[in-house]
Amino acid sequence: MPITVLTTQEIERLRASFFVLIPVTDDLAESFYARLFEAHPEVRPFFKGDLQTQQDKLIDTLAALLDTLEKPDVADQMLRDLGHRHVAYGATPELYDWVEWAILDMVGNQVGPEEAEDLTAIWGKLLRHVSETMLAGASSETSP
Amino acid sequence: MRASWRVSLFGVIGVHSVHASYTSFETRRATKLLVLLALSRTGSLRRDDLADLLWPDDFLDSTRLRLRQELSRMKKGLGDASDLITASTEAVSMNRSEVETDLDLLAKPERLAPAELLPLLSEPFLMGWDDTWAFSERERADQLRVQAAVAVATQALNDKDPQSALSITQAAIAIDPRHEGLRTLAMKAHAALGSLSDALVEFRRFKRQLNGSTAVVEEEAMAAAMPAWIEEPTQIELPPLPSPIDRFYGRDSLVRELRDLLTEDRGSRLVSLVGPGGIGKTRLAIEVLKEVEGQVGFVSFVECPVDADPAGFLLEHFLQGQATAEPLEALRRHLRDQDCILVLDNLEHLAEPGGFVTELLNGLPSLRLIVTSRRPMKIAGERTVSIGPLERTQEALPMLEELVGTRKPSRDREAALAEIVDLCDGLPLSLRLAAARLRFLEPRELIQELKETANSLRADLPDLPERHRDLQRMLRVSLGSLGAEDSEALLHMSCYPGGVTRAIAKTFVKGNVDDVLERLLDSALVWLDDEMSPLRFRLLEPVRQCVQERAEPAALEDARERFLDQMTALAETFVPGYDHVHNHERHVYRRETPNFRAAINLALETGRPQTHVLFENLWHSELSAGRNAELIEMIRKLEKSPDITPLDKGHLLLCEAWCRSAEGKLDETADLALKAKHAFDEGGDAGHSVYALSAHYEHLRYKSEWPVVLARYEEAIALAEVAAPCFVATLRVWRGLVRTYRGEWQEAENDLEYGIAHSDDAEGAGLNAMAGTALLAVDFAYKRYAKLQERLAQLRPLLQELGDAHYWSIFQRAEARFALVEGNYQAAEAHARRGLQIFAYAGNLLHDTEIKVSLARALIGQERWPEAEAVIREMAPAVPQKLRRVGVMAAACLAELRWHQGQTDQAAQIMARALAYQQVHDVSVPIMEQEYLNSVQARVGAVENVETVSDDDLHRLLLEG
Repeated sequence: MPITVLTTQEIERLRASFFVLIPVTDDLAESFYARLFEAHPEVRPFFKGDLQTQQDKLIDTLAALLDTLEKPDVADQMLRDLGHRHVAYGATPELYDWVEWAILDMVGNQVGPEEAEDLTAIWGKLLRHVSETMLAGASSETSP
Repeated sequence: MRASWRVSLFGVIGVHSVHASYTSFETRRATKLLVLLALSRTGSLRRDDLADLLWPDDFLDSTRLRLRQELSRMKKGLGDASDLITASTEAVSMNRSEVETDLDLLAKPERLAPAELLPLLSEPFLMGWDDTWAFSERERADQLRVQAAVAVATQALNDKDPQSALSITQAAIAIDPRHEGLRTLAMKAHAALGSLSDALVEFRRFKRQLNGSTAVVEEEAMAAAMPAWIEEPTQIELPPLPSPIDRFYGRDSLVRELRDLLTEDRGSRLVSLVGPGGIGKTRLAIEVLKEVEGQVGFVSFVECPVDADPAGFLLEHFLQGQATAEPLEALRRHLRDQDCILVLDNLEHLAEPGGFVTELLNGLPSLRLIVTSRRPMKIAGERTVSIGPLERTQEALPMLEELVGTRKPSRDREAALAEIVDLCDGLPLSLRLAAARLRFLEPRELIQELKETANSLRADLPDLPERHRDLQRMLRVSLGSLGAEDSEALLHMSCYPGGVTRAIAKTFVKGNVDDVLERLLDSALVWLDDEMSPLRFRLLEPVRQCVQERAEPAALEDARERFLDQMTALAETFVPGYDHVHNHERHVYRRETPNFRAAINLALETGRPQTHVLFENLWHSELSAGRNAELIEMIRKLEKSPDITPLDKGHLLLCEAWCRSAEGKLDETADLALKAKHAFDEGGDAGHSVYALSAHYEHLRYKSEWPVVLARYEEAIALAEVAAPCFVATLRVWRGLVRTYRGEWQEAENDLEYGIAHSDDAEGAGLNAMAGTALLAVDFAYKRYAKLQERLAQLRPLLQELGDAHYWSIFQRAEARFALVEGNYQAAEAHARRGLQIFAYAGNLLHDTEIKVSLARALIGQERWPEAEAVIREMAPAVPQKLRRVGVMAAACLAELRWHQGQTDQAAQIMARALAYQQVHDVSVPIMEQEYLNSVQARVGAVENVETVSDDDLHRLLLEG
């Protein structure tokens, strides 16, 4: 599904919501990984090295993704590469579902109730596209 | 509406309009003056405040002249904009309705476009100034810059101009990296430009900044970017500090002052020791380094060779042989973060030392420098310490005596050495060279040579640098570098051994007097004597001689002629008379004394008339300086002058009377004073007639003929009330003094208080001091100890200001007496010795012998018998001079001494003779001293009855013990 499913207004709202999250991204990332390892302790061995670096990578990737939403080719290529690399990390389709849910939960908790439903729907559209594109990249035999 | 002129304080400092731009103001101080006016809220600053801001370490008097000069430079640099500045006698103002500054713009950011703001954010504020005042102004400017950046960036984002907002916030973040508002605006600008990633990076930078981790990041980045040529150099062992062989003389308090200046928190990073060659700058710098060694990381002494490459010589010192393409950078790298104090010696050898020192200090915040140079660096933050000659009696004379070595002391030898010190003018190098010459010459021979030519001071002393071995050669180098205008001014100044004020300098300087004086000060051939007010510009004696020797004869003659005219005109402005010897005039006399002396000698040499008017202005101060012999010699010449008037004659006689009085020749004094009175009567000067009459009575006071002297004072007071009312106060003080001797405390107090109350009408501070000192005895008699302490505290500064040996001597004598009564013998000795030092300087036998009584008693109190005996023997010559009061006291001291030594019979005999002598000659002693006589008499017991004791008997007794 092309990323162009998002309208310009939706992209603006996504970016604005992320901007608001920037000051708390460290906390969010930390909480995200804590919950991941609690729910899926089997993936912990794949995260070697400093967890802070891992957390930064997650937030960096989201920022880079949001920066490229208006350039679908660039964004999709980036996501496919990422998906391909994640095979080696042991990422399964179930794990993608869980990540999608966890990020939506994270966003939903940080915005007010009046816009939570609306905003999580838009984030949901984006994250579904992310999972599908990454999984597509994961299933490709070679790195493009 | 904007003003027509703008002062730029960021980047290059200057004044700009649409049509013109002025950015050059000749000196840094002129530029600073502009900045200070621009920064002041009203645009107006008092001259005194400006001078204080420009020369915080200098005396106000010395800065007024300089301020005028810098003001002139600033206005010159302002060109068409010079009308913006107005100056009154009180204040200097900038017309702020016509001028706005960068800071004014920042204070109103709504008027600022982003493009206008950006340079104000990126250019340095008050570029090149690193001292305290600039630091606080910079803080204020930074606050304004950040506030303006927030306002303008916010507006730019609202105007959909995120790029400008980003540029502004980034420039402002460099000023205040911890400002949250700026970071948020920068993040917003990044986001608006489509980069949440950059916004995220910005946020992380801010977070790191708050956590204090940026320093590490910058350090790492710096290390990564470090070019190969600034790799850490090999550590070199620095040469040790120079260790001069000879002792360091004097200047102890200056060393401590400089130490504190360099090591205190709010001290200075650059201290310049400035002065002529041979004044002892290098030696002083070494002593300061020794003093601070151990208080800082390390200290080092670096001599700057002639024509040195600025950074090269330092690099050679620190990194011997490790040549690099960027020596200054290498040095900065090497000395970075090192807590050190360096001496850079002889920095006048560099072409532009100021620039080099600025660069060095700017790059090394923990570096502190002492530089020695003949000229100041003239850069911001510099503390210039002008090194003057050594103090005459406490520093220069002991130095010469020690260098010459011990020989049998004699009064003549001591006097000759003192004269050599005067001829060397306290210049340490001259003293060393003179000491070397004294190995082959007798002091009098050297004096003769020195008077004939300054050339004499040359000696092969291997521990001195070659250039210092010949004084005149050294001076010639400095003189050769002067322009024609300055050379001419220097020749005129050389005629004034006592120096000139700016007002006098104006009479002979061609061109701008302040510019010429400033250049001459910078050349260090002239030094500013800031102990006097108004300031005096003076040549050291060896320089003065050298200038005159090099001068064309015709030019020198012309300069001397103008000097004589000037001094005669000055003398005529003071109407000589006792009622004019006010405090202020007393200072003027003293300041001009060496000039009047030189003028009289020159006038006598050239046969010029009207010399007496000069003499009348000279003799009071010469007398209090103990130059009796010179005065008598001068009198002998002057009394032969064909144009002498009765009044002139009266002054000569009166002066001679006082000279004889100082020598203890009281009868001669009385005769001369009476003759002087007749001369004044003949000339119709009633004031001086009364004065001379009182001088005539002086001998009676010293002979202790108090009833007679009191009666005479009564007559004189009555006479003065009619003929010279201004003299009444002085006479009453004298009478009060005699009354204290007699214990007539109430009457004494009335007279003395009257003297103080009316001192302004008479001798001013001098009379005040004399009456105050006498009142100490009254306070003591009434046991008003608190009052006594208060009076002592008031008198000390008054006497220091007066600087008159005569009054100081009276004060020291009084202090010694009180200490004796209290049984504090050490203090009594200290005061007596200090007093003797002064008396030796003033050469006054009366005071000299009187204080020796106190000294002998102080030594007996400390059981230092042989010293006490020697002092008693020294008092013996007072007796043949009919100073019988001293004779009685000396004999009592001797009796007490013998009693302490266990020779009780002898003690009783001596005391018996003392009392008989007192009785036979009807010798009264001051009541406090009478108490001492009584106590000795009581101690040594009953004494035999002695019928008569002559002066000869007592003289012999004191000599033989």
